[in-house]
Amino acid sequence: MQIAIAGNPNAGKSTLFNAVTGARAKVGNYPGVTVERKIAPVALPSGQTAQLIDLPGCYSLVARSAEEEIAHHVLTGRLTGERPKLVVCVADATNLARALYLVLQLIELEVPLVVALNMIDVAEKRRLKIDHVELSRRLGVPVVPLSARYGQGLETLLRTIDDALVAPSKPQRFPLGLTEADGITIAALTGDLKRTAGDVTWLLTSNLRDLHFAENDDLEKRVAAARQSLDANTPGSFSRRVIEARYTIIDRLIDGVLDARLVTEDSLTTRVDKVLLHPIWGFVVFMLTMMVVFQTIFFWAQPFMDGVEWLIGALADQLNALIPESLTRSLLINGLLAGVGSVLVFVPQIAFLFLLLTLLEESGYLARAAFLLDRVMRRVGLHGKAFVPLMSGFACAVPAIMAARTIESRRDRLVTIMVTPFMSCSARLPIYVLVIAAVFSSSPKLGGVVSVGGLVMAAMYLVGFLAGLATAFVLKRTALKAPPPPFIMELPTYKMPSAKAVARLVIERCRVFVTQTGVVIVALSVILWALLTFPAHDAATDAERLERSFGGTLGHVIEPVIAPLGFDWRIGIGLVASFAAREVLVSTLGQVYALDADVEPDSPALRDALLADRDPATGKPRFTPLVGVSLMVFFVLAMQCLSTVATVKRETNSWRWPIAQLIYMNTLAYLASLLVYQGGRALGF
Amino acid sequence: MTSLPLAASSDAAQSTLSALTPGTTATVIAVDVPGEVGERLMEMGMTRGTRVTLVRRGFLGDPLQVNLRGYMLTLRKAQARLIRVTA
Ligand SMILES: Nc1nc2c(ncn2[C@@H]2O[C@H](COP(=O)(O)OP(=O)(O)OP(=O)(O)O)[C@@H](O)[C@H]2O)c(=O)[nH]1
Repeated sequence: MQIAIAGNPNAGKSTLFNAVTGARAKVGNYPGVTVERKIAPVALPSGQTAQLIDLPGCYSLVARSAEEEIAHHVLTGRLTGERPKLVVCVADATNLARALYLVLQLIELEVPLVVALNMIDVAEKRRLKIDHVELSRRLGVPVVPLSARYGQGLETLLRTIDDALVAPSKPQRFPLGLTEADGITIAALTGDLKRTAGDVTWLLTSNLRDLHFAENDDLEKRVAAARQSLDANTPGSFSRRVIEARYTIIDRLIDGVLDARLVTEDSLTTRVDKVLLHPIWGFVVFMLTMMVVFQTIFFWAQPFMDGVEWLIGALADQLNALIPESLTRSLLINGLLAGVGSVLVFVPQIAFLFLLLTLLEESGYLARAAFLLDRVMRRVGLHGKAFVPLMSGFACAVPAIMAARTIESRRDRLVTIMVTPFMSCSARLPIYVLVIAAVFSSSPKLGGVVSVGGLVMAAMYLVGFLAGLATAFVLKRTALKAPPPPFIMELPTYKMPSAKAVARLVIERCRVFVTQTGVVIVALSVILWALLTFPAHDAATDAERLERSFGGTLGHVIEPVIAPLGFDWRIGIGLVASFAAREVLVSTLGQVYALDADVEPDSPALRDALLADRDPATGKPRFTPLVGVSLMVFFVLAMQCLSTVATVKRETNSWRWPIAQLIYMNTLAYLASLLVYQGGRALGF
Repeated sequence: MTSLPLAASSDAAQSTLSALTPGTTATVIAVDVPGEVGERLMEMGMTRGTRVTLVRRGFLGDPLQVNLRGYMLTLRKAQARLIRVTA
């Protein structure tokens, strides 16, 4: 038996869900889509148990967005094969008119309904009095006032649910202001489609183009014709007439139930917004906020990441001492443990980023940031909300891509996911450090102060950022073509985030990453280990084993391909290995040049080895500044991160996007490096 | 009986949502925003007869923040220009 929770975004669905189920929710995706769904059992006072299922937050059910479509499909049983026995509609008492719009639609859909009038505590503070008994009488549906956050009214709600399961309420029928001509058109179609008039009206006003209603082209045409004649009946489209009719009904429902003179804005919100949405102060606060977010994932997570690395290293040492030198040991340490390590090392960043993001979102600030940035982001066709993932991408693409969830439109979210990995993440930094130390450390300072190395580093960050924006610009006009999102967005009132809810969300995000993305990362890491180990696993030195391994052979094989970029087979092996994670390039180069495997990116030994490497034919150094720049440009643009690939797979629920991204980014990286190296050569560098 | 003066005076009071001065309130008389975006706006409560306050304009004048039916909504100038209001 299923009970669905519906409601506007921010009405308190999740809070109510958690309050009545405890923390036992199973979180997953709806089949085939990336919208998250939660299911948990709830024990009713009668002793029955029901599955509580939450619907995506939506303002309407006419399928204008993925969320609305899913909500509609769950309610009609199309998605789960089972119609919910009952729907609990969470209505924000401080936003009654808009909440009733959804309630009316649920009544039209003829689903058994209970209205949970939430945020009663806030309403009382704002002196809003709602006559819920009268509202319930007018709707013909039970209305239970409650405060989900403070646990008030929950028992009454559960008892009401029990009663409604036994004796479903009889909602009022609200005429949608249809004219006689409308009635005739609709009646004609009810016969054709063998549906009730209510169903047909719904079909005609909604975006549901489903065969469920019209099984063949002929019927489809008749539906289209009916739409046209309905639109012709009176000025304004039929759907618009119906929308206005619903609001007319709502105005009548509310009249006398809620004293409209008392509907005022939240005074705290008004005052805070004077600063946070101010054209100047708003940006100052935004910049400061982003700096804190950036600092947190970039620097404050570092000790924790070091801790994870230390732990994995210590474990590796233990295993090294316990198990004699063997293939198994190598697999355990260099394959499995390294894989697990590369999963866990992301957890601190993910936890910190989501802690901050959840605080920002729950408090209501994220919507404000989107308001401030809309003007800028629209230029490239992105939603104001895309700024947060892009910014976080400078620390790490994995949590950043997960953060794109706050963007409602699927296409805009996809564009954001596709371009986020262009932001220079912290894993690219060691490569920049290594290369700059190797080829630019001895360059004179420009004007005596500005170091060339620093400039080159800044340029790399800029190249990635611009490539991302350009890609978004192109994607929005081609593959993911969509008009700029209209930015019709509610600015919720500010609320103090609930510590419990925030903690739960952060833990949930980390858990999903470790269990779902992590498995893929570990598996890929073991495969990569095999590539770099076999068939020469019994070679005397690491350098020899590497060179003769499949990966090493691959390095040689791709040498003709990467030679035009200025790379030899050694860098080739490094490139192959760096697909596990970019920073692996440093240790792999260390091994190739037969140095200690634990080299640091700024280690003089590796730098000297790179600089001492000369072409035997010409005697000239191989690793010139031009090669260095070419290598860095490659790393800026290339997708060389299994964790990101796995995350994109999970977030888009298909291999299509990560594979397209992999091919696109690496082709772009190749072409850009080619241009840099060949162009540089032609210019005499 | 002539209706001319009446029509003229109501014309004078007509304006669009995007032309309002921040802080002023007006009544929606028509939502001319085409397509689904217009329908979405109406579903959010922007229907004829609704009292709307322009709260503020964003950075460089766009997007706009409005208050209607007791809550805050954002929309772009391009759409607000197509919402006719009267004082
Ligand atoms: N004061 C008060 N705050 C509440 C109440 N119910 C929920 N909240 C707060 O309202 C905010 C939104 O609640 P959520 O449960 O996340 O809302 P939701 O409907 O799940 O939102 P979406 O996931 O965006 O659809 C949170 O900050 C809650 O803590 C309540 O009864 N009283």
